[in-house]
Formats: sequence, C-alpha cells, structure tokens
Amino acid sequence: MKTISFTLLIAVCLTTINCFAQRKWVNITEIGAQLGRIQANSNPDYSNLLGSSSSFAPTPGRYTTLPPNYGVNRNNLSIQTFNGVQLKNSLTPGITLGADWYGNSQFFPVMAALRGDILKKQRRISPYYSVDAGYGFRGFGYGSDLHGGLAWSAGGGLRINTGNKTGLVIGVAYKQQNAVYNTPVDGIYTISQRETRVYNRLALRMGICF
Amino acid sequence: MKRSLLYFLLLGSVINWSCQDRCQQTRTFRKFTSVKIPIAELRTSFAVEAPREPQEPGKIYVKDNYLFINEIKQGVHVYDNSNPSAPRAMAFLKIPGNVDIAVLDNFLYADTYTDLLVLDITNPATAREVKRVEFATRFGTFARTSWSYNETDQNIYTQKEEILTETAQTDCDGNLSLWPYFAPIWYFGRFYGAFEYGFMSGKSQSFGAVINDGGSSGTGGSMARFTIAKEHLYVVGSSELQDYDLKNRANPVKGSKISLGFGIETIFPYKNQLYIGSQTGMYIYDVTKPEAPEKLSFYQHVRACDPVVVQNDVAYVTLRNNSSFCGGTQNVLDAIDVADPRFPKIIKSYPMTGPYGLGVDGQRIFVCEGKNGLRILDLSRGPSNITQTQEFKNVDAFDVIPLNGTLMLVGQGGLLQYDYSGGKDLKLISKISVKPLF
Repeated sequence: MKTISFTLLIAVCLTTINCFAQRKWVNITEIGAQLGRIQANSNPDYSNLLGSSSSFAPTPGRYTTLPPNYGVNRNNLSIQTFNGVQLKNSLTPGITLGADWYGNSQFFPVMAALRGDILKKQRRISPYYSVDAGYGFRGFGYGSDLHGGLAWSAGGGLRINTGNKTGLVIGVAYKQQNAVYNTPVDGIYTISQRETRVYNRLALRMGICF
Repeated sequence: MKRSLLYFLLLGSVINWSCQDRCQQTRTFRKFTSVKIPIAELRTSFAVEAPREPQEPGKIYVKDNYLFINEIKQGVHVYDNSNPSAPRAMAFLKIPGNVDIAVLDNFLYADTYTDLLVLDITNPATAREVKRVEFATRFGTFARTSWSYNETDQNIYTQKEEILTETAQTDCDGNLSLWPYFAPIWYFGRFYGAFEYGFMSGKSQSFGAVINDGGSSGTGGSMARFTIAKEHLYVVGSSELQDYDLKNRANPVKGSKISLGFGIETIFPYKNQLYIGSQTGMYIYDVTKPEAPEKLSFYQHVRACDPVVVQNDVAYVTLRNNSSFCGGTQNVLDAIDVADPRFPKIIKSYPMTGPYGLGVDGQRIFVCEGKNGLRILDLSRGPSNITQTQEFKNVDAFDVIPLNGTLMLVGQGGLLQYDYSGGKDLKLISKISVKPLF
C-alpha cells in the first residue's frame, strides 16, 4: 500500500512540473477578445424589387446600419476551455468548449483540439501551437432562424511556466466561425432571405493552464 | 525543418487570411415589371399548348369530368378527371390575362384582359376560339397585380411578375427586416396579402348545377367573379354586375349592367338568387327574370373575404380574425338562414381555430383550418346542432370542393384528391403537384 502511494506521489510530482510536459491531464482556460472587421454593403439597388413608386419599397439604408463601403471594427468577447490528455510534449489531443459573441449573435463552439510544445527543450517560457476544428452551436436565447456552423482555429502562444501546478498562457489564433441566418419573411413579396455568415477573427486570449 | 514549416504556416495564416467578416444574403423575391400588350396582339394570342405543371395556380373550376385550374394571368390547365385517382393533364389553354372561367355545355367563357373569350371545348385538347366579346371591361385587379387599357395608344398596361434571386453583402447582424410584415394568407403553397387574397379562389359546392334550368354548367368557387345562371353569364366587376345572355352559347349577348357600389368581388348563385360579395357585405339579387336582376337584400355581417356555401336554404360562412384587410374579429363558422332571402338571419355561430375555405355535401361540412388541418362536421342534426366528427391535424388545408364522393383539397404543394365516400376516413387518391417556387 505504502509502495503504491509512494509511486503515485512520484507520478503526480513528475506530471505536475508544467502543464504540457509533466501532466497527463491538461486544462487551459482562456478569456479574450476576437478582433474582426466588417465592410458591409454594396448598397443594393432597391428599384429592382418593387419599383420606386411602390409604397412597400424600403428606404435605402435600412438594409444595413452602415453607409456603403464603410468598415467598422467588430471586437467581441470569447471564452474557451481546453481539456486534453497529454501523449507527449508536442502532442496533447483534447476538446475545446467555448462561448463566442459576434454582434447580435452568440455561438458555443465544440471543437476537437490539439495543443503541443513547439520546442523540445522545456524553458520558463515555452511557445506552443493550437489547432481546433468543430462546430459552433447557436447560443441560448437565439431563435431557430439562426443556425450555427463549422468552426476552426489555428494559432499559438506562449506559456509562462510558474513552476508548480499552474502556468499562464497568452495565445493568438486565427478563428473562423460559419453560420446561417434565415430572416423571417412575409412570403409574399420576399420569398426567402438567407444570410450566410463567415466570421473571420483574430483571437487574443489570456488564461491559465493546470 | 518541421518547426520552420510550422512557423511559416502560422505566419501565413495571420497575414493571408484577413480578419474581415464575410456575410452575404441571398434573397428570393418577386419582381414586378410594367409591360404593355398591344390590343391587336392580345386578340391573336389564344393557343392550345402542351400540358405543363401549374406554377401560380388561381381559381378552380369543375365541369363533368374536366378539372380546370387557372394559371394566374396566363391561361387554364385542363385535366381529365374522370378517374380522380389518376387525373390526366390534357392541355394548357394560353389565355393572357385570364383569371375567371365558367363553362356552359361545351363552351368555356374566359376573361382575357379587356375581352370575354368564348371557346368551344367539345374536346378541350383541341379547343378553338369561336367568339370574342370585345371591351367587356377596361381595367382589372387580380392577386398582386392590376391592369388597365389605354384607348389612346390601344395598349393594355399590366405587370409581369417573376421570381428573382439576388445576393448582397451584409453586416452580419441580420438587420434585414426589409419589408413591412404582412399577415400572409396561404393558397396552394403561395402566400398572398389579405387584400390580394380577396381576389383568390374559393371553395366548393355545385352552385352552378342547382340553378341551371337550361344547359349544364360546371362548379366554380364561392369567390368566383363569373357565374352562370339560367342561361345567363353574370360577371362582377369592381362596382357593377354585367349580364350576358347565353341562349346562343357561341355568341354571348351583352345585356344589362347594374351598378352595385364599391368593392364588389365575388358572385355565386343559389336557387333563384345571386349572392354577391362586396367588401362591406353581401347583396342578394333575385334572377327569376335573368335579364333583369332585382335586389332583395344586403346582409352586412358577411364580407367578401369570407367563403360562403349554401345548402338547403342555409348559408355556411367562415369568418377568420387575422385577415386584416377584411377586419374580422372572430374565428367562427356561422350558419345563416336564407330561406327568405329578403331577411337573412343567423342560426348559430360555432367557434373555429382560424378557418379558410369550406365545403358542404349532404350531411358533412368540411372546414379548412390552414396549417391546423381539416375539420369534418356532422350536419345530420340540423344547422343549429352541428357537431365535429373528425379532425385531421396533419394536412395543410386551405380550400375544399366536395363533389360526388371526391374531396378536392388545395393543400401544400398542390391539389389533393381524397375519397370520402366510404365511411369516415379520408383516403388520399391523387395529387396534382405545383411547381416549386424556386
């Protein structure tokens, strides 16, 4: 019994020296921002629809809140947590769960993920890579007109090993989230309106790993 | 080597993929284009064409074994329905501007913009034009479009309706409630605004057969603008009732014209009366002397948007509360005593969910509830004691014509025919499908 406990203690010690190198189970929880930009609107020609004389013709500008070809930044909150099993220093497969906000939408990505060290030699500050791919589900409280879609991300970061059970991470990643929004229509003059969305964002996150 | 490749990939991903959201909206909509048709061109445009799938079906008309489905402002689809389990498309009659038809014996009367066209349909597949009453009317409105005739340049000005798809970049926020939100009314899987629906087809019932004591005519809907009674064709315009004498079938003679006031939309005959629906109420005219219809009464409770069927001196009307144009406030089936057409009086109101068309045959009333299905009501204990016998929740039912054991139901994506002769259960026997919108 003593032997087993001792062995376990040794094993725990060995696996807790840093996040990737010494542990079997790895958790990285990060919070940050996803930075993006939109340049909306080719200012569609409404005269094509009902004719300018029609009282139902929409006023230009209602199509989007932006003037034509005017870009704005879109920076939104992003939270994610990675849980994985370390196979070797450079390879920790796992799963990433997140919550991402985008304008007036929200998605919960569930992604298969890989994390791993880029350098073989462990240092106080170690660079790592991250790759994620999966599906972003529609957030709570959004009607069934909104549909989630494929989500993927690739990036890397620096891990500051604090030497004991935890480390701090600073990550940068490119993230893409796909979605579809079916605008409710009257079915009379407008038969369907389907918006396909591709959110391309630069994600900057900070967090802890243990 | 491996490492530098990874760095390269990471760097490349940041530089090459921009962080710009890319959102685009694909919108499918109806486009209306003004077109003009020279009157001379209209008058040579009738043709019998190969059958085709209905796309924007309008009113339905049944005569003997033939089923006619109007293609709005295009013409008429003709089906041989002698075997309702396998209706056979026979031909498409190209009649520009056509909305209404009526059939007496072997002659079909159809509106074609300004004119009234008479076709010999002894064999509908080889129908031929026998007469054209010119300038029967000079303007008209139907469904989503209207037209008018300009005498100066002799052109008909109308609108072409087509379905287009366009794509535009958007701001990814779905700020796209472009259109005022209509309360759409569903017909044949197509949507119409409440106002437009006022022009659409109705229901049921062999009105034509009841009143004809000369020749055999077909069955139209209660929202038809054409009806045949006592060898006369009655056509309602927006404000008047026009009579055509059909004693000589191939040569209608324009008769009297009665001014009725604003918003006249439908006409149907029962016994010696014509029931004329307007936006404000229902006129009842007596046609004992068919060439000189006489006004009996004006019943305000019923409006043109409310489908009506009549059987055994009782009119059955459904009122629906969401048709904003007609301004209804309740969802009911009303039974109205019309034994004395001078004084129609209500017998009883029955609550419904949101009724559309209805049909009555013998002891059964079929009430369409749109997306909520179809109700079958029992009439055997009289109009003051109607009970529900069956409810089909799983069908989309807009409109029905019960005729000789076959229930024709305007449903999702087409015209469905059910056999209701045997016992309680409806049995689907055939479907004439409608071409998908896009």
